[in-house]
Amino acid sequence: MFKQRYTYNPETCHYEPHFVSGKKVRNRLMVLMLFSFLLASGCYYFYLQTGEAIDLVQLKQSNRRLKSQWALLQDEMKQQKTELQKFIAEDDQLYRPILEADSLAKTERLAGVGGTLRIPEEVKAYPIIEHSLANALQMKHELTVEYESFEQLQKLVNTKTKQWASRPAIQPIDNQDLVFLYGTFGMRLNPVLGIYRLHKGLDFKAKTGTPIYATGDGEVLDAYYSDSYGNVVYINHGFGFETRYAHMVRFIVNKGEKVKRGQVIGYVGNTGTSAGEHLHYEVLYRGQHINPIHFFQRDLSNQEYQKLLELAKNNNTTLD
Amino acid sequence: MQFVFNPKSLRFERAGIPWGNWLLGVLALIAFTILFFAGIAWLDATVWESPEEIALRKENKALASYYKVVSSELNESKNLISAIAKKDEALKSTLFDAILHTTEEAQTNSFEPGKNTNDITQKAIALQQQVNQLKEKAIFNSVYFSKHVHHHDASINRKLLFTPSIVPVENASLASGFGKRMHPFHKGLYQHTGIDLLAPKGSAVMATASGTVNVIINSLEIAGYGNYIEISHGNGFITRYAHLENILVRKGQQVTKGQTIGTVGNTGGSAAPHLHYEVLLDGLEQNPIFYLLQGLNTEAYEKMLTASKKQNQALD
Repeated sequence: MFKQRYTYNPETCHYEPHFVSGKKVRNRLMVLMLFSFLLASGCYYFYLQTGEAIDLVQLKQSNRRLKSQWALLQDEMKQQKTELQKFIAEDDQLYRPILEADSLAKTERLAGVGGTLRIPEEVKAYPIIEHSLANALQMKHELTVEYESFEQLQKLVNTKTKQWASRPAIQPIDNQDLVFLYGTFGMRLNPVLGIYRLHKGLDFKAKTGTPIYATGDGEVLDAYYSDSYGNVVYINHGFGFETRYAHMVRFIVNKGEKVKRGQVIGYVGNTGTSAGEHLHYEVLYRGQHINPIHFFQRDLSNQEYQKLLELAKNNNTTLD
Repeated sequence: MQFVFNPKSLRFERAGIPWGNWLLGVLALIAFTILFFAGIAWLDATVWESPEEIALRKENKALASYYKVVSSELNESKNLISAIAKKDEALKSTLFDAILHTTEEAQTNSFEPGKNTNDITQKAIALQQQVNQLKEKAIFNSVYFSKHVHHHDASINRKLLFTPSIVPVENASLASGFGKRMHPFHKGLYQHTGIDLLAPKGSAVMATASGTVNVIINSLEIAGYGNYIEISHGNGFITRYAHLENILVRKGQQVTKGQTIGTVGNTGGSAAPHLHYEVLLDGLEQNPIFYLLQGLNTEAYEKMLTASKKQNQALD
């Protein structure tokens, strides 16, 4: 391809084979490289005018990606905020009124946050981080407070359910066994004179041996034989309630024993100052006799009553 | 000046620089330029940092590292939320939905006549259900139309004045409806003769129609209705308001619709502060949900209607 080249040497007047020295090659190469370097720099300069450095592009890309992730975080936070507000609303407007407890004050909810949030100096320059972090910390704090509040509510509800379970609420004698109910409670007739000692309760006429049921959960305060009451059982239900069951033929619970609603505590009899086989049933609230009729005025059907007794038999669980 | 030997003419002839050399030079220039360009770009990317890049890099680093911090905080919050939600559900079920028997069982209990495989009874029940559905539909329509109509006819207005037709407590939620409900104390099913409206203690209780205060009972009993007002509205309508904290009217007093007659309380056989509200027509207990028409939009009414159908635990 390349033919042998010659140069004319004027000194020898000869054509001599053309020869390129190493030095010449080097020089040419240097010039070439210088040119290309200048060209490359120029090109890069023009490139920067129109585009951006590759790393800057990459940085901006990852910045966008990170910010979109942060946007997701903020969405999540918003969602959590609505959840929290729902809980607070329920707490304040539903549970606390029902349980008759005061709602948490706003200062209580925000205690410990405010100006003393642990926000590092370095993020102060980035509002997105600063706000999100502050919000997240505050949210966690408020949620912790709310969680504690719900724990408190749970305790209140436990007390409440215990209170409900303890309240005398059923008839001590099954309707099927009941022969007659004497509405002899005298308190309404003479609430002032004090002669209601004779009519402190209700009399359930039933056959001897008819089971008598505890009307609410409680603890047997006393079970003994007295001349007037005969075989009598006192049950303390707590929360101010006490019930008494008198004239039993026998009782089958002992002092200090815990009883559930619907549990058989004894059997109808005619002991003590009694004119016939019946149960004398008394309900006391804070030491005052009250008419037991109110504690089963909206009575259960027989079927329901049986179901309740069945449950009392099988149910060994406690509420706390 | 370069020469080439021409073997034909046997002479040295002048020759320019061959195109191959040119091509080589240009290719080398392009190659070197590309190499240098890449080198400069690489240096710019790795070694040289513009202030903008430094700031961005710092921001990105902060964004990435605090992303972890914030998301771990949010995770903890999330756990707290699910823990609270669990407690919330437990509380709700104990307070409102505590159903001893399953709902289906309770429902079959409430339709006991259906157990007889008597055709007529079943037809009667089906008919009853149809009637109830129609009634609901009618109520919906009347809620809708009452907004547009009731201002026009003075006589209707007057009749409406003496018909129980508002919710007796503002901003109350319905906790338990009319019908077979579970008793909070003994957990058995019983006939709940009114509706339970949940509101904080001390909320104002309004007369739902104009009328005369019929009965007032200030009761210290911790059973039954507690402090209780009964108002007679004429036309056979009677309303009852039970478990009140305070009674603000006297017996025989004339009250107007919307007048505050007492405050919500927890007296008598009540499990929590609420108003037990009953409507009687000609001595028969009516479902008060059908007498809460005014002042509620369709949505709020629908909400109450749904709540009233739930066979849950009543509050008294």
